[in-house]
Amino acid sequence: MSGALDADEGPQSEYVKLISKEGNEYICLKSVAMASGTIRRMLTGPGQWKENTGPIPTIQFESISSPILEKVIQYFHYKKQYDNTKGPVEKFDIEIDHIIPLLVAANFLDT
Amino acid sequence: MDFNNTGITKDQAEKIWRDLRLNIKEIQNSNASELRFEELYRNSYTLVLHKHGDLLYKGVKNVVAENLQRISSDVSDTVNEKLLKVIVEKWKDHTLHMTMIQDILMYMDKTYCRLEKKEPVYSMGLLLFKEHVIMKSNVANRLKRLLLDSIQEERKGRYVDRLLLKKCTSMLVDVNVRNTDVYKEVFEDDLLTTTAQFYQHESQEFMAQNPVSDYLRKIEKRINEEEERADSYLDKSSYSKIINVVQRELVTKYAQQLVGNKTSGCGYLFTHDRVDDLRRMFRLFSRVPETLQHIRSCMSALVKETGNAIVKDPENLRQPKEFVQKVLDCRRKYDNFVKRAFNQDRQFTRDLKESLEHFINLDSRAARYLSLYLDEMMRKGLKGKSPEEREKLLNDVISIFRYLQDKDVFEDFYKKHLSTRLLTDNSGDREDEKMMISKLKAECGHQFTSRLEGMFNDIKISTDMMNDFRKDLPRRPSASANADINVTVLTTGFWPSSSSEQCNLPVEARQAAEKYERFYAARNSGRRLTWQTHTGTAEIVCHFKKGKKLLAVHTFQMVIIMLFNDADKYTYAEILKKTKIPERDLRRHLLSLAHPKVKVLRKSPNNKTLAPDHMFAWNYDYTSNLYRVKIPLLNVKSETKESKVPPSVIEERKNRVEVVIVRVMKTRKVLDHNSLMSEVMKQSLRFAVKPIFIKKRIEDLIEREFIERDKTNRGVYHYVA
Repeated sequence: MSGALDADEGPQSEYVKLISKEGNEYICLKSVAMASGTIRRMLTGPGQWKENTGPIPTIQFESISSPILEKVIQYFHYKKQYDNTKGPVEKFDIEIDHIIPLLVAANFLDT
Repeated sequence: MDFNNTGITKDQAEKIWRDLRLNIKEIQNSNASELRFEELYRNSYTLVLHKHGDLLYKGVKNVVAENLQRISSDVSDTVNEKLLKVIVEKWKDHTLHMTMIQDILMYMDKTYCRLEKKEPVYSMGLLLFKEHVIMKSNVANRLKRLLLDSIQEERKGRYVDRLLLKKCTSMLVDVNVRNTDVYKEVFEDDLLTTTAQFYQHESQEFMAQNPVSDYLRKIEKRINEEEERADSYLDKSSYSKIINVVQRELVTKYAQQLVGNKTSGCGYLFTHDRVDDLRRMFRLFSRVPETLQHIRSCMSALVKETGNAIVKDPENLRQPKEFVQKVLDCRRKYDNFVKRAFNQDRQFTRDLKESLEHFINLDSRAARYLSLYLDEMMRKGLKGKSPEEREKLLNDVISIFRYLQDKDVFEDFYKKHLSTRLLTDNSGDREDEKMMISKLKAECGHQFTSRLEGMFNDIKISTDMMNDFRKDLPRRPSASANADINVTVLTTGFWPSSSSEQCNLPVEARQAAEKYERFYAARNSGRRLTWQTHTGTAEIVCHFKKGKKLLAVHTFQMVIIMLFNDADKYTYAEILKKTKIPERDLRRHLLSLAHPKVKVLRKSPNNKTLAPDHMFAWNYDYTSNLYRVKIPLLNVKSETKESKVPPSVIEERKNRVEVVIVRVMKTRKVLDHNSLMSEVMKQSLRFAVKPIFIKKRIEDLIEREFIERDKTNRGVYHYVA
């Protein structure tokens, strides 16, 4: 992640805020978060959802816990980094405990 | 709520659905900003995950349908003036809402719908709109009416809201998702029929009251309008359909009529040089290519008609130049049309060529006329013109030459004329002649021009010879150079042949001739020279009472005149005996000297007839304003009938065909009659040949034992080695 944390251009903002079940907030680049089909649809669809109002799009995931959400965001970056490149790709490590919840979250997020 | 492996109960599911339903209704009321996407998404996700897709799907369908029913009554209550605007607005909102609903139900689309083969949410919403809003309460008919009326208005020249119409037609297309059936049923089918009716009526009326050129202009305008309208607010699938209808009603139906219209149709346009109108007609008819043939037939008929008139004109006999000029003009005129109005279309070019060929070859004199025209050009017509103009005039001749069927007749005359030109006029660099020959070479091959080039060569060599001869002269001991002689040596075979009977040359002339003969023999042993006394000219100084005159005459005339050195008068019989000039030529040359307009000799009796005892006396009283007087010859009546092919050409043709027959037989050894005929016909001869002509040649060759008939089968020939 780079850039100032207080970028605040409203719905046109470069960033999104993702909040976990426990209430932890994570900010990442919009372009990175678009790896999730669900998030993408929400942000780019014609609808004016509650998430879109306000200085920065904010999504509260009531079903995803913090460690899983972190991992997901990590994945977003990983995907962004290696998408459309050729050659060898670094492994994406996942702890055993996280595997199933991560899969469930991924299914939910359409990633 | 967490995602866990435990299922949810039916009650729980229904509760979730009820919440969701309320939210969907909020979306439909454009209140989405209070709703959390994540929540709705998660709810539907949960339902589908726990196998309650059915519930969700049916529920959504109902909610949407209910909403649409409300919309439907709004729409059908709207008055006509506002209907289009209202329905388009409702449609816009509906599609927006459906998109949002689709987004939150994405998971269901991807899994449940796919699995159960159900219509995905968005298209389901569109189809519902069709069912509940458009196809209900006569709305479809009202839409149809309004759309068609707008188009009519526009056709009448009034303004309509094109953007609105575009939205409407797009709605009709999109609403049926997979195909344009609704669009067709509600709108397009009737559009096509009303369009056809409209133009049927309009064209009939307009045609009846307006000339063709105006009609063409109008329909072009109309077609352009329709194309523009189709681009602007009709679905692209309608474009070609509607243009076809319009073209059919305006162009196809009336094509023949337009062309054949007696007062303002093609005939009129051609004769009045209406290039723009013809171009427009061509442009329009090109949309329906089968109609172009009408224009082509009209053009061909007109060209042939004009051509026939040119050919049958009795003036042609006296003015061959006029004939060629008129043909050139005709060709130029129609070439111009083909180029500027018909876009050099290949079929038009071909039809024109055929029509020209047709009438040019109606009269076998065309070849002769063309050669006369060329002769005049070479002698006088090209003088003073720029190089480009000269080349163009020669190209004109070549272009008509191409159409000729009897090219060899032209060749024959051309050679004769050329030889006369070369022999009588030694001035000039002959660039034009050479240009013509190279053009003919390009057309006919070098075989044709090799002899002509031989002619040129003879002239050049003769000139060089003469220079050498003159240089030699002073050195010769017996230099009684009374007669100054100028000789051109012609190689037999290059030049048109003509027999020459020898006459009695006067002493002076004979001595000069012999001098040259000796000179030539010394240079070229083994060659024989024969003097062509029927050609050639002479200049004699003659003494009259009033003074000397230099008479420019033909050789035979000179021979006659020289007689009068020895006596003042002779009878016809005496002149004949003394000069040995062939009688036919003698009449001409002698009478020309005695002619009332000339009167170098006086004839008694003073008439045009000739009898052995008629008297010719030298006219000492002869006067003239000029010192050098040219004595013309009487005209020769042409022996061959103008329209017949000259005998020399016929002989040449016989030879040609025989050569071909023998060549074919030599290769094939054995051939049946029909195959031989077709092989001969295939050869490119420079003249049209009838089968009977070939047959006669075959029989002639059999007689001369070049080929023989098969012993058993009369229809088969063998080559005789």
